[in-house]
Amino acid sequence: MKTNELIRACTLTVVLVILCVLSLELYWRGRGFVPTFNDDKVLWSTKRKEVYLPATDATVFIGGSRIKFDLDVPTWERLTGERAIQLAIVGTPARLILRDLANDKDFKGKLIIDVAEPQFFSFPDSTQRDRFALDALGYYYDETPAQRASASINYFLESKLVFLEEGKFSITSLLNKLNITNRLGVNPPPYSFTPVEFGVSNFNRQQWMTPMFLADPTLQKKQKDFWMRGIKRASPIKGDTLHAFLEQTKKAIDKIRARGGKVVFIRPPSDGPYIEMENRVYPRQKYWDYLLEYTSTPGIHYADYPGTANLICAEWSHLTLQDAATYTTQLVKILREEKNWTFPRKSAETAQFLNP
Amino acid sequence: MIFNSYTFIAFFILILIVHNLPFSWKTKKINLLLASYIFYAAWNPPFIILLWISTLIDYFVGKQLYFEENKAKRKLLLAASLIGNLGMLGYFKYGGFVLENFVNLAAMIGVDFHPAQPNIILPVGISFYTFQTLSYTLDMYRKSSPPEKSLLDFSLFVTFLPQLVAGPIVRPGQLIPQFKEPHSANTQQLMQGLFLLSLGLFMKSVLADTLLASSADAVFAAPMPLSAVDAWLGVLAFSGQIFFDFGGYSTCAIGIALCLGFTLPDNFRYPYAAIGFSDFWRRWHITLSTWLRDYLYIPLGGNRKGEARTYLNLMITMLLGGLWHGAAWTFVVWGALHGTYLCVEKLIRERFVSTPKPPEPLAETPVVVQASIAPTVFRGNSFNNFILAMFTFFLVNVTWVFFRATDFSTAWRLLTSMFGQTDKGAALLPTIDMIKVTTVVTLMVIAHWLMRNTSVLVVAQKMKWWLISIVWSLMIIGLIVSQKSGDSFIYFQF
Repeated sequence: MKTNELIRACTLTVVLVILCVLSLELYWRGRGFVPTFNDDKVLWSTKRKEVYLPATDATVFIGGSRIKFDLDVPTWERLTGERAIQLAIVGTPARLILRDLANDKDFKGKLIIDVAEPQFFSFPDSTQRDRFALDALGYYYDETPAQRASASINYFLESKLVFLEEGKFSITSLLNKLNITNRLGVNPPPYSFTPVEFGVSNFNRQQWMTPMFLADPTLQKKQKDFWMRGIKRASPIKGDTLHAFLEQTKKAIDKIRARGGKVVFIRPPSDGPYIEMENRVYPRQKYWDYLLEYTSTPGIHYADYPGTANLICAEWSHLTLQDAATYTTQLVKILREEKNWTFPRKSAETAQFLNP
Repeated sequence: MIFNSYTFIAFFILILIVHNLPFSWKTKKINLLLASYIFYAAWNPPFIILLWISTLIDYFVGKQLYFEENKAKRKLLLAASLIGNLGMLGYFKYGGFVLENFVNLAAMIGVDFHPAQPNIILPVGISFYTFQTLSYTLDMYRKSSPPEKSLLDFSLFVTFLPQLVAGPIVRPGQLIPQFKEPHSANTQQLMQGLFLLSLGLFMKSVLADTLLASSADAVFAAPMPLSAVDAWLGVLAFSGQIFFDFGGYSTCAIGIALCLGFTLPDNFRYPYAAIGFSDFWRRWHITLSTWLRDYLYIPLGGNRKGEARTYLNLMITMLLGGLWHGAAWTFVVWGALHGTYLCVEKLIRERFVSTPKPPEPLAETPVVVQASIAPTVFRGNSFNNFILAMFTFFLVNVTWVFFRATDFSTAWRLLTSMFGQTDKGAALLPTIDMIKVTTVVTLMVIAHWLMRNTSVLVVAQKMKWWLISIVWSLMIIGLIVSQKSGDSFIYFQF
């Protein structure tokens, strides 16, 4: 092939690629999406590096998806003057992350642990159940300088382009969401039943349900149907396994407290068949209350406070962005007034806001 | 730094710009050397010291080896170089393996030995650059080529970034002469290089990582016996994954070098169209198979010391070739299987095939023609050849089980599943994954068969410019929408 033909081929390639990328971007924007961040191990690792901030400057959150939706980071930061370091991982028990922070001698800060019973009470470690946490921790400890540089470029691009969110718009994610029947006994790919409109994430790893999801009962039903699969399969740990789990949790918390850190458990709201299952399979006295007693750790259960008891979860498990702000406000108030947490950077201002 | 990352794309653009600025050739080479060190250090900066040690040992010892006439001193110098190079490789790659086997051996004779667990990190690409520098030292020992005078050129030969961490394993004669004269790509080379880089990234990110990896990972991680369909699809997925991953890396490396005006040897020639195992090794990881042939098989005596020694030499070569890939007995079994296949093939050829035809001229690259450990075996009509190629592919897949499995129990569980020796094998793969694997592997095998006597660039030369553009665009769009950046190449661990 002649050189001028190669140049022509290259030029047309550039034009076709640009056209395709533009079409893709416009398509997803046309469906109501805005640029958000891929909530993956790279972003988690970026946040994990922030846990060494002094206790007066930050609070770390671990757990599953509920705290990711229910904690409104801007509200938290406005009321406390501190950073909210979101290390919770969707669909993942807090166990491994708690152990990692406990074993990190340089972590001496404040820690809030989200308890959604079916996820939280899990033992022992499992390469399947803990895979996202294992991935995230593995990446954090093995991250190379080149990966750090790539992450920075990636964050810039993700902040500008909608279609770059791998978890939603990559070939794999889209193929996995095709409605193809599986053979009996085969588990579908992870999150294949979750609508792309369900949750999006920002750079602070806060998640929220999109307006498209909240406006569409069909999408909500799809998500509820997905939850029902987990609700039907719930199988609690009991007896020796439960004790082994509690013992391990206590040891981890004691390590953090021994270094001057503070730990609080929180139980965010849930609704409908979810709360029915959680109350039935994980009776409060045998799990939540026992957890607080065994680990000698304070806890905040949403049902104990009028300001949070009546919050409604749109799809039984997570709060809307608006309710997340309400929940976060109440959380700061309870921590400050009842659990003796101080937020020196915004103490007076917060007190005035919470008790006008 | 890996090719399928934003950092590399930015870095590569910078290298291309600097390489084409009006600097002296020496300055350009220094730039390339510094870029190669940065490229390597971006993984783990301290390990760059190993590269420097390897470079300095081989540069100075190589020179001494060539000029030294005293046999005893020559052997001493060779030993020093081998200890230096293989010592580093042995410590970092095989230290834990040796210790583990020593502990097991001690336990067998009743000694309860509990050493401290070594926490050794494997430097990326150490097997590749060690073999590359070893080839120089051995050439000096044999006096088959004069020593390199320029430390700069020799350092660049050891460190040249496109092939530093996963090959192709380049011989001194293939690369160092290219550093003697100014090289920069003309427009045609640049376009071809960019096309090959796009193709390599497409193979790695889209075909290997996006479409095949999850199925292979799921099947090899399954703790229970699987249905034959799932087991086979998992192994076929790995078969495709490892080709697209490693072949993709080599294609990227060749493309990047071409963009800078350099030529690297081919490393893959549609291996799944191989007819027999000698043909397979002429097509799979060609630069390793030629290295093993020239620096291990032939020095062991090759086929010059009788039939029994020939078979023994083949087995030793393939066993060590297996161990080169990883410090585990599963890799040794993988090598042993390939050695056995080669021996059986040679036996059949010598006993039952009367007049084997010479190998087909496999296009322009001489390294391909030189590549085999044993010559081509079967020839016949096209249909027979295809059946033989599929039989070879079937046997290759059996070897991949040992290559990918983390232990023998996993390998055995998978093999029994593949051959229907389990009563209740579980269904594992979602339908979408079954469709992905079946489609990609079928297309891969067809493409290998159709392309077996040609090359991508030769085919591209014959295509209309707009058709090339459509194919090229589809690859780049596939790359963009797969968004699978940042996953390491499998061969980095070797």
